[in-house]
Amino acid sequence: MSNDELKSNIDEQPISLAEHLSSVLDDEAASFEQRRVLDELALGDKSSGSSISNSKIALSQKLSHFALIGESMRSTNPAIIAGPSFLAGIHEQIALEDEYHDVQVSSSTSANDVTMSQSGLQNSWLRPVGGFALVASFAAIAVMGLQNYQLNNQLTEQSKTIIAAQTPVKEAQTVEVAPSVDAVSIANIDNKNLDKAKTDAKSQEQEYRQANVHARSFLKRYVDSHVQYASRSTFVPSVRVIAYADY
Amino acid sequence: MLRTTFKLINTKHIFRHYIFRHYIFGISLSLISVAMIGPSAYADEKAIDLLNRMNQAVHKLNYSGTLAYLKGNSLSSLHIEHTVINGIESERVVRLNEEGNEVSRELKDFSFAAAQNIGPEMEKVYSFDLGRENRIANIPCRIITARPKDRERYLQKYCIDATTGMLLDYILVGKSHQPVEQFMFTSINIRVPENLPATELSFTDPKACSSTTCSDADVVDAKVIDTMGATAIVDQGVAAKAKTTIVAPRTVRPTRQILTADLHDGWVMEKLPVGYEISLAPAMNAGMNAAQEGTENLSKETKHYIISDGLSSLSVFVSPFTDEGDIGAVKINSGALNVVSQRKGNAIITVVGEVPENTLRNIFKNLRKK
Repeated sequence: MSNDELKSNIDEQPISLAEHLSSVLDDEAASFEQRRVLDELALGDKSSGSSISNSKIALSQKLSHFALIGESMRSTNPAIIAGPSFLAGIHEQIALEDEYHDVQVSSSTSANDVTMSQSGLQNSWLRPVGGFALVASFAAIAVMGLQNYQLNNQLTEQSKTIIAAQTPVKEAQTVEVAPSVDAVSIANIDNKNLDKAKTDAKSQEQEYRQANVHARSFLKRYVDSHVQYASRSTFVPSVRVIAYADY
Repeated sequence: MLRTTFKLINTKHIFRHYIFRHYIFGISLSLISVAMIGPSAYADEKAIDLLNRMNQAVHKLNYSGTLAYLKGNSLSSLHIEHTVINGIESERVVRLNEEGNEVSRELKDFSFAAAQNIGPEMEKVYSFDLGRENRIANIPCRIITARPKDRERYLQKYCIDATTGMLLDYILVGKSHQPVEQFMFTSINIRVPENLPATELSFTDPKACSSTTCSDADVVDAKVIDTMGATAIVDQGVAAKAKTTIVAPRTVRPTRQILTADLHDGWVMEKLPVGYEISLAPAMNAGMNAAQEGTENLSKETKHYIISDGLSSLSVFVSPFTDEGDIGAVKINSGALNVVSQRKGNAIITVVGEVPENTLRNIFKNLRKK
């Protein structure tokens, strides 16, 4: 239907109906008039193909225009006046959407098929590559995460060992404190154990002393044997031998 | 209806835009991951390859040179000569400062199996990084870093001549990121033995390798690589006057690997740091000199266990306790070398190694009598 035909159909409507439509929208019509206008609009939705239905469609479009006008008048923002070409552009864009093509697959023309295949071609490389990229990204992140996790675990385990070796205080606290003892006793025991552990740690630290000349000469053959059999670092053992010669 | 249409279009456009951006983000992330992981793995392979070549080169090449040796805070200069005649290695090391004492030894029957190659098990505890190019003794060399993944060993840094595979600089870095031990050639003369088959040791064209990497295509056979430009003339007179000590021939005998934690005489190693393996060294009295004969009986009963991860190693000596051998609990630190000795039950446990002191203590702690 062209715009001219639409305009002539609207002009052929009784003026009272258009006025009633306007008054219904402005909430000024009586209940009888409201029912009449609504019936006319409902008839326009149900029927199709005849000239009468065209007039009803024109009425419904009139309703849309009135509603848009009213909405723009009530709106505080400046209204965007869209021309028929703009609306036609929107409808064209909607028609080009894939989802709408999917609906028309069964009755599509060859032109539509070409459009569909083109859009399929556009996505054919993007989807697998994108999918691969996503999978690769997640895999890479997972590998890196796993490596970090393992490394952290190792480090944590070893640091725990080192901490346990260096500070037997916590071990003593864990072992000695009985769960049934009250808080004050726990605190006392903790303090005692802490002091004891500190003393033990200090004494253990003091157990090692710097080697004197006698000890050094005694240990020298151990160092020699280590350099001879255990040192792995290329010719560094040779250098070490002479470095330890006056050891 | 108009509003619905606008909403529909906006939603669809936003959704499509979001998906597109998601794809782009995914592709970018993948490319970044590949860019990060790819060259890193490649660099690791090159680093390991160069280290393995170095292991062979230092034993198969003839070289002589002067090196600076830093041990803790002590710096000394040494002259080293290494020759291979009829497949037999011999070394002569002369201290050029202080009293200038000399140590010579012959490495008979050297087995290349002892020069351990970098294996996958080492990569569990070290990461091998190919670093930048450096210049030592006027020879370009490539820095390789063996970075430990825990605190049970030192960081080791090498600078290797990519042409010959010769090690020119070696640093052991402690936990405070300071070198605990380092030697560095100040001048060196490298020669390929005449009877060395060309296939045994391949050299790379220095010009081709002066950039970031060396490919197999760059490898060329060369019989003589002479770096005379960097050679220093050693004062032979000084060396001749120096007190000479002949060290017992270093016969590298195969050590026996111990697969279980059960050691001899009821001793058990309860827990080892990751990557370390135990093996048993030959009896200690082999090669003992006259000064040590007094303790020969004790040595016979001393068990020497070697604990190594391939790059770092330590020795555990288990000796029966005697009054004459009682030196109490002592610790010694000399550069990278640490020694911890203490009585445990009826034995004296001595742990020696170029590893951090804490590692030695952990080993000592985990060694128990059943």
